[in-house]
Amino acid sequence: MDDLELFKKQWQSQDDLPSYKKDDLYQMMHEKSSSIVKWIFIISIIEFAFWIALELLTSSQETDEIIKKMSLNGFYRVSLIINYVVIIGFIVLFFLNYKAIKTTDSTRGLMKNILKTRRTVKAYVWFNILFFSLSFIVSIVMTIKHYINFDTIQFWISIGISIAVLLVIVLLFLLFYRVVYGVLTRRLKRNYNNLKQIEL
Amino acid sequence: MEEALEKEFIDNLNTHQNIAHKICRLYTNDKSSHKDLFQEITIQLWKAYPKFRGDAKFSTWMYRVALNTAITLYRKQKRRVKTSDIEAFNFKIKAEYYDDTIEENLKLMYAAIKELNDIDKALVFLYLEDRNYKEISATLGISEVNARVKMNRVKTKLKKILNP
Repeated sequence: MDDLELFKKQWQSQDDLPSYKKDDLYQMMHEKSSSIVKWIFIISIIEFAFWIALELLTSSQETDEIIKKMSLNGFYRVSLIINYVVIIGFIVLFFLNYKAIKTTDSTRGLMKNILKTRRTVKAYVWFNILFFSLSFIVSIVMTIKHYINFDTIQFWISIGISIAVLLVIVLLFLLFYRVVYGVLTRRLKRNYNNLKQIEL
Repeated sequence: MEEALEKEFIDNLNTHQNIAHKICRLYTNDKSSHKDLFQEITIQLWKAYPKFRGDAKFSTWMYRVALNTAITLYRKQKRRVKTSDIEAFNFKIKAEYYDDTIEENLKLMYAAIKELNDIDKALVFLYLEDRNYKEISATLGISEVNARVKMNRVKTKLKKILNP
């Protein structure tokens, strides 16, 4: 008999496994889950909320005035509509993908659906970063056009600071993604790739 | 209604709790994470239970949900296997096989299996549990042929570890 067969026999006849009482099982089934899916869900909701909050904060009355003054109105309205349509689209897609995550699925199917859900949120964040940067750049260009005395030092300093702030924000997001999501989905991705390799 | 379902679930889980314990034994390295993973498996089983239909066996269904929890949902990173873990969880060697070399080989085999990656470990686990290839392939979501090929590769890998 080979070693694995012998091991199998031992494995099947192991009698020193722990055994929990029904009361313990009852308590356990009502505990809160700490699964990766739950964390992905929480973090995703925070991300959706973050960008929507940012949107609401930047679209105050004051900015409305400035936009009107700088004849950015048309651009602003169109971009706002596009932004909302895309965001709603992403949220719907996210919930559809999230709903599809089922532990009763095959391991491969389950992993695929989790990664798909994750990708939806990732795409959402990228869209927001690009949209944010684009609006920022357009605003800067329009502002330069609007101000006649744009060759003052203060003006250029403030433009420089704005661009630096934009770069820092984008870099922070990139770092956030590397670190947080790296940790969260590293094992999942590795396992998914191992599983995929079997089918090659 | 809910109470009856809870009772039915607890009865089923109680009968088959060994499945979850064996998975915990393979995927965790100490008693507290064993309990932690067992709890997460219980939560996930209960969450999925309302959709469980009697047309599949509870055990077959449980293998799938419990393995998925261990491989995919369980968040905590496992630390490296220590020799003491192998000793601590070492199951008693039955008298009829007792022999120093055999015992040593069984321990080595256990240690080697614990060092496998999560997916290979799942294959070996289902094999050790005598699940057929049809079930193994359906559980993992790979084709039956590929499940066989991969299992043979893992067997060779384990053999090489034991007889370098």
